[in-house]
Order: sequence, then C-alpha cells, then structure tokens
Amino acid sequence: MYISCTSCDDLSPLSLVKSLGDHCMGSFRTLLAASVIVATTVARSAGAQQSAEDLRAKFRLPVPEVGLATETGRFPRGAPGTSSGSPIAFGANWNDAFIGGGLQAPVRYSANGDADGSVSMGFGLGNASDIAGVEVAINALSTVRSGVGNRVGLGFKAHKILANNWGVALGMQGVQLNSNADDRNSIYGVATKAFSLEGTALSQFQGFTWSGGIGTEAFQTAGNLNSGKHGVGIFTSAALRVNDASSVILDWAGQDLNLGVSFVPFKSLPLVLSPAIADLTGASNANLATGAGAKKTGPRFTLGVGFAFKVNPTAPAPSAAPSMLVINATAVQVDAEKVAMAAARAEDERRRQVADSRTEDERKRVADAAAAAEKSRAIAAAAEAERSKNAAELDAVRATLAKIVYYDFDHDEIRDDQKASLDAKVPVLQANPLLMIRIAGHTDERGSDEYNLALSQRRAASAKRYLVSRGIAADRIETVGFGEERPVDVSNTEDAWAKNRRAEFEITAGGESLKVPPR
Amino acid sequence: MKKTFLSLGLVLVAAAPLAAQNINNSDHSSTGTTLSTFGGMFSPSNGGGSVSTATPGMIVIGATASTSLSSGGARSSITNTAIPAAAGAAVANLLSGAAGSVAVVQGQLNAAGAPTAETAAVMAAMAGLGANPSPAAVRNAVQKYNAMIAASSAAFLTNAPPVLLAIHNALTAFSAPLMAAK
Repeated sequence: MYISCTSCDDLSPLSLVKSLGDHCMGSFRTLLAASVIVATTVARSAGAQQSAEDLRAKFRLPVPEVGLATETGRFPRGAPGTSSGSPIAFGANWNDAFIGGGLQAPVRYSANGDADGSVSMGFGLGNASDIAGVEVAINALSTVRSGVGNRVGLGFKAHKILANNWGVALGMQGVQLNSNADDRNSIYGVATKAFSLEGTALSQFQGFTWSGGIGTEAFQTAGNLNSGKHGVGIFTSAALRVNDASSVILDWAGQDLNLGVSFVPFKSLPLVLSPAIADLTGASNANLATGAGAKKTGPRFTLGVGFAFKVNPTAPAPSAAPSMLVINATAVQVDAEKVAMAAARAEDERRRQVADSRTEDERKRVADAAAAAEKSRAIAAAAEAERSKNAAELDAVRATLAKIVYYDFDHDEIRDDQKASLDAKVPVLQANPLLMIRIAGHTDERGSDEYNLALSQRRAASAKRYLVSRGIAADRIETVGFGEERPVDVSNTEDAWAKNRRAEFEITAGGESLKVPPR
Repeated sequence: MKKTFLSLGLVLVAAAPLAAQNINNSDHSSTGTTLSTFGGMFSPSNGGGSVSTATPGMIVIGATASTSLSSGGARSSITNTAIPAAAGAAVANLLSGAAGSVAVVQGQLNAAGAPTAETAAVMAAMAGLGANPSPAAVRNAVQKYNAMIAASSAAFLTNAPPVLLAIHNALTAFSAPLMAAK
C-alpha cells in the first residue's frame, strides 16, 4: 500500500493516523499508526529540543571586519582632513583623482598684507594596501601675486598602508616645471597612524590620526630658511575626528604651528573645506631680515578647498546594493524551502516503506524498528537531558560571572552585601584559568560627566582589586569606565540610579571552553 | 609598479642635490595642496578616513531594512516566521534614534528575560545606527549584540521576543556589505 501525502499540508500525528485509517485495511493498522506516531514524535522532539549553545549559535552574528575605504560612485562621500599643512602617509590610489585650491591672507612676510592662492590637481597610481600607491600632483603656487602657471611644481608621494592602520610614505614636492616656486625640491618621509577611540574615554569621537615625519628644504625651521641654510626639519600633526563631517587639527608644519578645522559640508559631495590659523606662535619670523618688501607677520588665515572623485565610477566596490539584500533574503528562503521539501520527501518515503510492509517478516521488522526507534528515543532523551543539565550548569556559571555588583552613591568601595557576588566569581575564574574578563564601571546620572567617568573607572578598579585579593591574576582582568553614558534604567528615580551604579562583568576570552567549577 | 618606483627613485635622487633658493614658504598656502586638504579622503579605517563614514549605500540599506521591518513584511532568518509590524516598527524607531525608542525595545527585551546590562549596551550601540551606519558603528553593534546573546539564557532564546528577531534582521542587513567586502 502506498499512501501519497504530497498534497497533504497537515503532517500532524493525528492526521497521519486518519490518513492511514482511510487507506489501510487489516489488523496491523494500529501497529503501523503507532509506529508513525513514535517516529514523528522522535523527529519533532529532536528538532524542538536544542541546547543553549545551539540556540546561541543560531542567534550569533559574524562580526564584520572594518577594512579599507572603498566606496561606489564617482563621488564617494568626503572625509575631513587630518593635517593642516604637513604631509600625511595616506594618499591617492589608482582611480582616485582630485582638484583643489588654497588661500592665505595675508601672505607670510608680506609688507602690504597681500593675499595669495594656489591650485592643485592630481591622481593616484597603484594601491597603498597592495604593494604601494603613488600620488602625483601638480601644484601652481602664488597664483594671485605671480599669476597662474608661473610657479608650478610637481609632487610625488609613494605611500603604503601597513597593519593596524599605520601608513608610511616617501615623497617630494616642488619638482620644478618652471622656476621660482618656493617649496621646491623638498623631500620628506612620514608615518601616520589612525587610532580607533572605541572603548576609550573619547569614544564619543570617531577617531584620532597622528602623523610625524622629517623633511628637507620647505620642512626645515624658519630660522634655517631665513638664513639661507639647507637642512632638515621635523613636522607633526594630530587630528581628532569629531564626527562624520568634521575634524579638529593641530599641526606643526616645519615653521608654523597651525590650528585648523576641516569639514565636509555636503553628505553627497566629496567637497572638503579646511580653514586654519597658521603660525600661531610667530615662529616663522625667526632670523627674518625685514625691509625691502619683507616684514614679520603674525598669525595668518589659510583656507584649503578640495574635491576628490573616482575616475571610473563603476570600479568594483564592496558596498552591497539593496537588491543584493533582496537576493540574499530570497536565497535564504529558497534554502529553507529546499530543506522543507527534502524532509517531506524523506517522510513520504518512510511512510511508503511502512505501508508496503505486507508480509509477516516485514511486519515483524516494522515492529522491531518501532521498538528500536523507541529505544533510540529513550537514549536520545537521556542524552538530551544530560546535555540540558550541562547547559543549565554552564548557564548558571555564566550568570554567576555576569552578576552585576552595585555601589552606594558616590562610592567605589565594594558593599558588604555585594561581596558574595564577587566571591562567587572566584571559583569560576580559578576553574577556568584561560578565562579573561572585562569589568565595566558605571554611574548614575548625577554629577558631571568627567567626575562620573572617573568614578566609574574607580568602581571597575575596586572590583578588580577585590578579585585580585582573592588570588585571581591581575592580567586576566581588564577594566573600563563608561561614566553615566550607559544606564540600565533611564528613569529619574532613586531606584533607577541604584540600578545604574554598578560594575558589569563580561567574558573577553576563553568563554567557549567554559567549565563548571568543582563543588 | 616596479618601474614606477624606479622612476620615482631616479627623480628623487636626481633632484636631491639641487640647492633650493629663495625658499621661504611665502608662496605656500599650507592647506591648498594634496598634502593636507585631501588627507582625510584617503585615510584608512577609524582615524578619519572615508571608511569610517557611513557610505550612501549603507544608508540606503538602513532605510530599506527599517521600511521592511515597519511594514511587517520582514521574515526572521532564524525562525523563518514573519516579524510582527509592531516589533519591526519599534526597532526601526530605535535605528532612527527616535525619542523613547530605546525604552520601548529595551523594555520588551528585558521583560522577556534578556540580560539587562548587555541589553543596555546593545541599545546604546543601535540607537540612531540607521542614520549613521558607519562600518565601525555596525561592528560595535554586532559585538554588543553577540555579547547579549552569549549572556542570554536558553529560555529567553527559545521564546525569543519579536524585537530580538527584528534586531537580528537589521544587524544582518547592515553587516552584509561589510561581510561582502572581506
């Protein structure tokens, strides 16, 4: 007998019994139906019961890596500058091009306060994250006083991105196309590092970039320059990325100490504006021979305007278009349907085999199979119970480790009633010597941000000291303070504040092989 | 590339011995060259480069995910069930940074048994993420979400509230382009 269920949506045990009842004739109907019920129940219980770890694996997401910048379109979104006059080690790669200009008012050493400007354009070759990138630029200086095209030089920079957001570059500016540009033949080497501020006290900002280097001619001190010497000088810059669109920059460019900002006024246009006050200290006046059209100048206003774009807007980029998400979602759904269809086909086949068991031997085999299935189910249930028990114990261990410690208002001492929470963590840490944890201190909303940040750090540190005093190695415990920034309860009540004055405990390594401590 | 380096080296070596004259940087307007104005455009990663900004594509993805969640048309890739529109809308509001949205989502998660501290961290990481889905922010949100899952009980995950499924869907959408870029 063959029972076709390909058109049957309801695969519940009751419907199967009914189906069998409709199709089966003879005294073995009950036995066959029972075997179907057993098998179906086994299948369903195996699917329904999952360990905590299995569940977590289903919910967990892969952590994306933050890689190098690649964006689609001819006009990727701009980013604010990271220096204000001195070189950095990052530069244009293949497919990058740029054009821009600069203004200074007044011009350095100008006797009559003239302003002047510059125009630059260039492109990139190679790839700094591969072998190296080379940035090539043409710079026309003194465009107002001397006229465009009269003081023109080329600039080259070979730049390479290293691990951990380091970059190094070797460059030269002022390679002469015609005479008189006053930055000519200046060679420099520079290193730059981009720092993440995640997890630091400055985490509200997006990042920090530092550059430092050494160079000849235009990079030497003003004292040397104005004495006609040809030495080397150092330069360095630091930029705090305030948000997506702006940064604040402090830059020692060789002769001038510059303080500037850089911002991107339009989200969809890679236009960067970088105003600055140059030569804050007047250091550029050193050894200057005044008179004959030259005089000492004070701080000057400078403005840089830049526009970068992709030469080939269709170059490959990693950003997924929304349609890709649709495709991915469809793929997931199709996979789920395939699995469901395969399961249904297997179930049909099994039913067919059951229904076709007509001989005594076959019936006996079916009965034996049902008994074996029952035995297997019992073994599986016992194993599952054991696994659940272990999982429950591990859950309890995790809960013990994660149990929050609370503090009194404006205090960082461990309260007597909280010591048990910390004491309970000690055997867990002792039983798991590879386990590393992070303690995060928090405060309520009362008090200044700065005070609360320090208080939260002290709270984390006091919890750490307590654990260390119980024999846990200090280097297994990391601490961090979040101040009042991460409340558990945002209400403005004493209860809420009490909940927020806390230290939280997080496993940072070794959690995958967690063991239950011996009792 | 080797030829390029060779050429560059020759240029540098040839130019170096030349004595500069009249160099006083009076022509140099400091910010007008590629050395500084464009610096941020080409920086990698977190320090100020374009990678730390939200790309237009990711903003579109955020908007698409939010719209899908709010409409009730989204399906959970974990349970393969539809995510109720109310839960989706709550998470969409969270992504947009709407006032009070954190309390709504956090309340539903905590009521279902989510670990409180880790849930608060997820809320902080996801609030307003749709308006600024920078890679660093997405990565941070995924890490906080995983920490919450790691601290969650089996009972909570077995009966996962719809807002958790909606959060999973949203973070999956935001992560997709970053994973594809690896």
